Amino acid sequence: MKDQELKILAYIREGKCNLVDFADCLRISAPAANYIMEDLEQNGYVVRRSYTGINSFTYDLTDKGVAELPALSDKDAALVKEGICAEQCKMLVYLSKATEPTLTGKVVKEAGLSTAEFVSNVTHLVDAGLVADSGIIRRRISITEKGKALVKKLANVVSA
Amino acid sequence: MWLLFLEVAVYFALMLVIGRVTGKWVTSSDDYWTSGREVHWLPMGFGIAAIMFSGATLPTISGFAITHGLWIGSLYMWGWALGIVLFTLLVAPAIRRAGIVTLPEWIEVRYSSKTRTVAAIATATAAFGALFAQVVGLGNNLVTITGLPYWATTLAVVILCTLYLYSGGFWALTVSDMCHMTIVAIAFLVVLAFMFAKVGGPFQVAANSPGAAERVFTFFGKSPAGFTYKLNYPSFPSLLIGWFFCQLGCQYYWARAVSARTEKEVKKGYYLSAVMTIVFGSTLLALFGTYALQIFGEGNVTSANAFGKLVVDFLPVPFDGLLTVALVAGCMSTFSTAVVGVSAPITRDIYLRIFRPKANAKEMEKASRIVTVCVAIVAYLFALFWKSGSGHALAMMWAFSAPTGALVLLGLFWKRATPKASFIAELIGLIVTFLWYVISAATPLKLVNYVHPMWVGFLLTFCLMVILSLATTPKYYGKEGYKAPQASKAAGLAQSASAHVKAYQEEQYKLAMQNSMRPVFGTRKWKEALERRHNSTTTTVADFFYPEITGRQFNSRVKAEEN
Repeated sequence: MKDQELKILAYIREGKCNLVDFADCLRISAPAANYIMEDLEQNGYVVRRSYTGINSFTYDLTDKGVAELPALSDKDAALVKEGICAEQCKMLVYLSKATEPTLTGKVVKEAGLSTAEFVSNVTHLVDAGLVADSGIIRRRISITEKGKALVKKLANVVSA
Repeated sequence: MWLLFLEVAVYFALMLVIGRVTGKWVTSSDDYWTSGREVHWLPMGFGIAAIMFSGATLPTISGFAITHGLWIGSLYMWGWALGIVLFTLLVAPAIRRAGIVTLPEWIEVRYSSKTRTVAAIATATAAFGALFAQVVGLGNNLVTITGLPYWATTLAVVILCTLYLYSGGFWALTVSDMCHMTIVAIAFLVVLAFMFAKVGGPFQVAANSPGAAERVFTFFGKSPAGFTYKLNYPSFPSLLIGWFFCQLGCQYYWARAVSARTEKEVKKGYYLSAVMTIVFGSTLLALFGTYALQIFGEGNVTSANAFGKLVVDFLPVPFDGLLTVALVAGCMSTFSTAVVGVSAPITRDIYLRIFRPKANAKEMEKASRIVTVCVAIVAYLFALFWKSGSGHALAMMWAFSAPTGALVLLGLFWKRATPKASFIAELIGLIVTFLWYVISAATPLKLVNYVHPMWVGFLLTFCLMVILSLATTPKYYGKEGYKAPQASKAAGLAQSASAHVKAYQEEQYKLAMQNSMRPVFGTRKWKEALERRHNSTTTTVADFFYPEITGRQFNSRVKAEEN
């Protein structure tokens, strides 16, 4: 299996399961990402949520797809159980220390996050209610109470 | 006159500052076209609404109020708003989720690379119709107002827009559109308030304006015979549906959904734009035509010069300058969006894909900027020769968007639609649309007078797609007997994150439904009183329709008392 295909399977396991996530994270165009997804689906590694409408751009792993991925470490398994990945956890920890909503560019730089995966990660955290965004022109993000509670809950995992 | 020029000059300076500031935010080609997918729903909604306050629509709407009647003028915007609502319900969130930058990219995702090339030509042609329509509309108005030559006024606006777009790309467009729309809304309200005070309230003017009995007090006014059922332009069905065809198949409208922060923001932004156009752009805008008719009298005002005559011959300082700035702002916003609408497919779907497939990020960004400048220059030169009929230029945009619109609808909702069928149907739809125009222009057979090409393009492409799809092989998932693999049920792995998101969304929805009866406006005391009632015993309409979501029964209090 190619590197990009494995990365996509890993993204889906982390909850980034839309075509936009794959295109943004891998820095490829949406049609290029779609060709990879069609191959993966025809080989039985992933399945679309639907074949019509908006969910035709959303994918789930199949058992065969899960089997292709390396087993999760204890830390990663604990994070995935809470619906986030290591990169998102890193962002939450950084934001939990910030005193005010922070510009997205600053968060990427100071928390040492992946630029390619950033938009996808923020969208996921906002959708899950762990991060709130503000700023009508430039986007600023801050951690929510739910996010803070999760960071507290995962304190042992994070410190490990 | 000098004060009018000063107001316009200040506005131009503001746009240049926006271009300079936003230019610093662009770090890649994706940033240039999508603002890094970081646009908030508020500027997004302002930006989409601003598209409709353009050099072409302003004279068209007030013109319809003069020639056909007040309500037909309003209908132009109602059709647009209806189209936007349908577009949001059916397509817009899917655009954001698909991760595309241009509409032709979506076509490749769903169909094939070959169809993408045809769709790129179609959508660029469609947006080009809107592009030079802005230049024409603005030029005609400014000639009347300032007395300056047509070539000079249009050149100034084209250079200014190109400068800030070159620098800031979609970021510049987003921020400037917010300014444009704010100024347009304020100016219209202030100028209309002045006219209400000076000439009389809308009901008084409507009753006194020439031919008011027909133009104002009947829905179809002085519309020509067959207006209600004919498929030409303008007609009731065309005005109602034309915008939807355009929104489905024109990059112009897709670009906004691509740049939004989340799918939820996409919906909010598009719905906001629909509300704004209904409030500021329908009857309110058509009233300018009715007022112009009342002030100048029958036969002394036309759709092309209604705004110009109001500024020059009626409005005093500073209202004349305010309305002029609003006109320029409206035109600039639509012109800039249209430049992006033409440049994005030419850059990404034609130039970079076919001629420079291995271009790096720097080259892509450079190509984006150069194409933007070239497109603006071509639009300017084209507008120098066209000079009239901006409303028809907009209808041309509807026509060239319609074939792609049919592909989008079928591609999204029919899994049997095939790549081969899409290529043939789109190509034939586009060629027939083009020939329809050519035959109408070059021969005595005026086909456009009977059926507008948008209907031909949409219906022909739609029917061809269905017939050819049934005769050709679909993608693997459309084949008969295809069994999709099962999603893994491995707990805590694949589905975990999605489940968390879903749970949160349900929680938020429930909260929203519980809040749905709270007023947006009102004093704090009033809101608190309602809040107390809501939280204690009173149930809401939301509880009646969605008890499973709000978790409360509409008649629970009554039942409790009975017990």
